[in-house]
Amino acid sequence: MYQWFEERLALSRLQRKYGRKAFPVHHSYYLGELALAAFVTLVLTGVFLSFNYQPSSTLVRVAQQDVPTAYASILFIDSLPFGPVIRSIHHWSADVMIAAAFLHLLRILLTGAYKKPREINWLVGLALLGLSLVAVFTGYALLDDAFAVTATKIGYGIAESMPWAGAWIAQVFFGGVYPTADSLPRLYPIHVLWFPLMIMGLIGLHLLVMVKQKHTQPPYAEQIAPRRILGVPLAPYQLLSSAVLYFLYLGTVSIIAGALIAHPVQAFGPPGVTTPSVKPEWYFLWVYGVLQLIPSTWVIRLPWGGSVGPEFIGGVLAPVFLAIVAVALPFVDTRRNTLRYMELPSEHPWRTGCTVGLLTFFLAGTLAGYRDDLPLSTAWLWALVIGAPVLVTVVAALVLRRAYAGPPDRRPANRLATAFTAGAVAVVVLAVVGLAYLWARPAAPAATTAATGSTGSTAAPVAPGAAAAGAALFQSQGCAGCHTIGSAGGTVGPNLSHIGGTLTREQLRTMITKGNDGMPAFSTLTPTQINALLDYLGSLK
Amino acid sequence: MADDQTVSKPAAAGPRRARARVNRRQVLGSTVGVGLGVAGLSALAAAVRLVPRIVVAPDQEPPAQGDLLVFAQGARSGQVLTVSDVPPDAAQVFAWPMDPSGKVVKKGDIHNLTLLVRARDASWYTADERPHTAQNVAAYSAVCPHLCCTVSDWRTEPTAGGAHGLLLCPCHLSRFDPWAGARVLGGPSPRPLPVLPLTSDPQGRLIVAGAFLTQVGCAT
Repeated sequence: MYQWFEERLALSRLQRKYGRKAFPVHHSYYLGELALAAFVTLVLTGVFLSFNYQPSSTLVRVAQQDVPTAYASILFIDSLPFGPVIRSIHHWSADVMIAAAFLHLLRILLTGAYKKPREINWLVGLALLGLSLVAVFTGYALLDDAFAVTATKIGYGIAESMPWAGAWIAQVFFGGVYPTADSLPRLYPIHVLWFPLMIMGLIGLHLLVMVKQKHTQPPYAEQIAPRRILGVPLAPYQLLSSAVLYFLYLGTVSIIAGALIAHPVQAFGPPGVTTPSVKPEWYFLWVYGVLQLIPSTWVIRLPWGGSVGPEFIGGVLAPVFLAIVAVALPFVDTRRNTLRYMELPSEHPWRTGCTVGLLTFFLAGTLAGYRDDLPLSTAWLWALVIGAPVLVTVVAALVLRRAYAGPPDRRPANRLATAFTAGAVAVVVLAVVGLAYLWARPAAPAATTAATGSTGSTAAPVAPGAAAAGAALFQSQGCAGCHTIGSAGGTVGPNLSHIGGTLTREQLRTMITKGNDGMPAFSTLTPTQINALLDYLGSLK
Repeated sequence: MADDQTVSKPAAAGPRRARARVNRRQVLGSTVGVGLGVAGLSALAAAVRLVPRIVVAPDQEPPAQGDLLVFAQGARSGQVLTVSDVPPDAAQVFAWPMDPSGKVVKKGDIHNLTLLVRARDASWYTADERPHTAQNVAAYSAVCPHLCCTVSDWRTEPTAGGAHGLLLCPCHLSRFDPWAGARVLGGPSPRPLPVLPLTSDPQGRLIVAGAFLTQVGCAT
């Protein structure tokens, strides 16, 4: 058998030429392979799914209920032998692919492997991550249940929010103003054909460039065999370990998929008129959190009829900003590098600090996604999203610098320093979250008291008589549109929950009658009305 | 090759020949350039038509003056709504407009989805909103201007003046004031919900008095 192929393809020559290529060994080098394993699994399970899926939103009657054809075909897949397991493997593999690709990116970032001459592969990798995220998103739309339609509407809105060309782009990809009958027939080939093709092509390029440029090596390789590649041969050892990794992955994800059926469509039901309360997948949560934080007033008019609003700033600008920083990184960071060896994160305290800061930003953004469940005000969440990453970056960088200062023999032990850094970062994050929580907590019981029907909250007691009239005026004059008292009101102007304790009656009177810094003058109020308002505001201490 | 030509130029008979001469590289270059340009323009012309043609079916027409409103969900889905079907100071009711003559429920386009709220007293409404209400019922587009979700939730928030109900979009927590033209009380929505002017007939049926006052949907 081997001989038959050998005579025709000269396999032994191929093995001599490429099979002996040395592959450096380090456990972190398997992250990219894990992403590849997940992608292969996605394609294989995707073939099964695509044979049974119908991309149509035409309503059909299933079990006395009108449901989209696509939704019905998911129910059909779930009724097939191993159908739900294969669908779940597809779902969890998408999660693993995103996670592994991101960790792989972190490894490259922390060890400086993006630097010259590896800029091309850094960019290809970024493109792969971006394509994967969009591909996953289009996959969600195909389920066509209440969750999918909501998530896809948001995706449509974000695409549509781009100035000038947004409407065109969104309508091309979503088949008109989503949801329409054309939507699924367009999203389906994007998900099963165009994005997988592009991803496959880029994976090929990624590997080709890597083989051509040689992989980076762990620092120990420099001591053992300086200026040479130290590793195991591609065939059979590296291929063998890849195969082991793949089957380990397949086994693990099968067990998970068998135990946890992913996204049962019946749990959400077919799309209705109302929006279910849903949160996106974990890798989109930070965007979701940032989207909630951008206030409604952030609208910028652009020339030629363009304009950008809060949905563009949160949904496009924030991720694109990170993408631009990532793309620019290898062209900005042109410091001398070791070329063949991984740089140690400890030797580059600021780069490592920024990486940890980036992770903190993702965490803080995710936390902001739970805004409705957390007793944190918008201002605190803003401070957390902006402040915590900066703080963590600086602390991590300074700790690393201190721990690794001086000649190697006088440094604190590496392991100790690493543990110390991790501990310091964790403590800072916990402290910030804890502080924010404690700070915001007194407001919660106050709100509960008010909700039970008393005339006011403990934080904002309302005296009977004039103050109550003032409270009514506060509502009817639209003050609450800009100002918050207790837990209700706008956020355009300052929070007035404790204004009686900070400004005098006369300062407040001037503010109301003359206006101030963005606040209009309420000159139509009668003196009696103003006094009632002042009584009320004065009672807020 | 270019070097060869440059070198051979003076040898090739006089200044006249040299002036008339167009080098091969220029011909090839401009041919490829023009070809790419034509291909690009053709691709652009094709790309413009990638947006699907919009065909407005009768059930996708926007609400018009004289339309009735029908329940959009629940057991009475499709039945005509009257004032008493909208509970006062409570969660919004969802409705589709219905053409009174053709009996076409205009539910083919999500942008026609309307939410109804009812105040206990006309004085709850701002002076701007009051003329668009019918027997204390106000109607707004149910599509959040932020990112197109349905403004599905109703929340009562304690204020100094007593509990105040507000419309809440569950997606990114935009909040709208039901008694003041659905202006934005908080959250990221860049615009208020569009107002649908209402009136009512002697039987108490709610009737659309005109088109949505502002652009419906999440387009910027």
